[in-house]
Amino acid sequence: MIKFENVTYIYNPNTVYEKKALDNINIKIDEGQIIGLIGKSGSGKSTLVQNLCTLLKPTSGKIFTDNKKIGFVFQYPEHQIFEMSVKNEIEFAIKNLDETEKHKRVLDALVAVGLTNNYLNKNPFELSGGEKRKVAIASILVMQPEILILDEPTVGLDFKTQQNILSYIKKLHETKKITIIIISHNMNIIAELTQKTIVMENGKIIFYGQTYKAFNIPDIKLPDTKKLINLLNAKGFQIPDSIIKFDETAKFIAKKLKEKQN
Amino acid sequence: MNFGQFYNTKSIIHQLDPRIKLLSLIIFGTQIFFIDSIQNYIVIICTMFFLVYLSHVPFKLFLKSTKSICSIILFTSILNMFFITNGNVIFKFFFLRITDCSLMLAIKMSLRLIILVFLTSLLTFTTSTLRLTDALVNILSPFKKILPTNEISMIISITLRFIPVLSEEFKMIMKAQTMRGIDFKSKNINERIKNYLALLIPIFISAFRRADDLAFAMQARCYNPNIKRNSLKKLKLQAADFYAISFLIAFFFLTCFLENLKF
Repeated sequence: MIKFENVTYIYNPNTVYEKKALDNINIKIDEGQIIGLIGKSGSGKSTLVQNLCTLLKPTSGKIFTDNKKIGFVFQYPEHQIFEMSVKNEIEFAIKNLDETEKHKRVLDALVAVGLTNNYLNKNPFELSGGEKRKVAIASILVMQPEILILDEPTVGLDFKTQQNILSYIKKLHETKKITIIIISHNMNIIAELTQKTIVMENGKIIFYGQTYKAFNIPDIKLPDTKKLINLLNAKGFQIPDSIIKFDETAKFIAKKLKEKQN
Repeated sequence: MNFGQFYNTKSIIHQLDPRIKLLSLIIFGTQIFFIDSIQNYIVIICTMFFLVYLSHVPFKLFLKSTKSICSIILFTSILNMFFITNGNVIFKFFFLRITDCSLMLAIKMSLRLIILVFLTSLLTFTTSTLRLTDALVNILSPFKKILPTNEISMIISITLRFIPVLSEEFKMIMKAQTMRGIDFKSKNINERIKNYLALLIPIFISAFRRADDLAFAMQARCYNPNIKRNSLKKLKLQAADFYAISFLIAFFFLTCFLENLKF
């Protein structure tokens, strides 16, 4: 169970730069799901997750995580790379484990992000942007987190690499059944990957529930599929609200077109 | 850290010409190390508080700036207290002794440093980095033939501009590495130094990447340091600046006069 109880966080308290980033947050987050966290810049998304993984301590209130291991992949995680080989970079957090266990975990993490053991001795600084990011994500996965937080996991990557990383996140969730929290401004990612979504505004949670319902909130940017559905519904297609994923939408439209042809 | 941050508000001090503020800081910053009399300290401290009041900058920001150099003040005070041996001994513990002269010197040196920090903060809180750079270029302009003043001003403004950016990045990388189990507060010094490498390498790479991007961006905008430049807001002395100059001259002579007065 991940539970926030009356959590408030204030930056620079009692100074002229004081800013309330979280305002009395109360929420119970479902486990074992992929959760989206959306909101405008400065709405408190990063502060919320940094409080969750104890990087920040709430000014008031309590957070319960049942002592679960939390992994946090920051924005542009490839900027944190510092070792001269992929192997050393990934195993840095588990360097105290014995060699066999370390090797097994490193290989597991590499496979989870779609890389092979051929990469182990490569210099991470010589890899492509997407590969660097995969190595950085693997260096968090190696700690076997039970809750994984991804802050804009595909920002700054080309479309193909984005799709590749997203497919591995999906696969990771299917195989390990861990809770994944994704912060993103890209609504296509939120629509495609998440089951539930948290919407934040001015340090408050204004919505937590099924992702498709989040897109009914005014001012929320819509994913491409939802825009298409809205256009088709205006032409009398009657596609239900709950359909937002690309495959589901394509299947539904195909079905409807077949019905119309018949 | 607030030292060096511009506090945006309207005040007489904010409106003053940055050249006047910069030159006054240089002159009075030097002068405070030559004053010795109590009456002068009282006058300077009172004037300083008056200027702080006129600036409309919250007093606690000045205190915060002073807090950041507290350890330096404490260190110099201790050195002055225990290593000046002339005067009457007022405290003795084994080989350590404090004399009335050393105590007085420690107090005076601490006051000088505090006044200097307050005055520097007053300048940076009331002058934006852009105006400060303009002032510097203007002051250095007579040396144009022997100094690359345009490059110097560009270097200073870029440095000032990127301090908060790199500081934010430093904090972010520190958090990211903490999530990978790196203990930056380890009591083992060797381990701590080793752990800081995980911070320094990404920071250096990031700084070089930013420098590279900036250089490309400047080239794309046809930046040429040798071209004669003008500025959108030309620095021109206003009536308030002349009042300030008169006040500063009067103040300078008053402190010189008080220094020579014997009570």
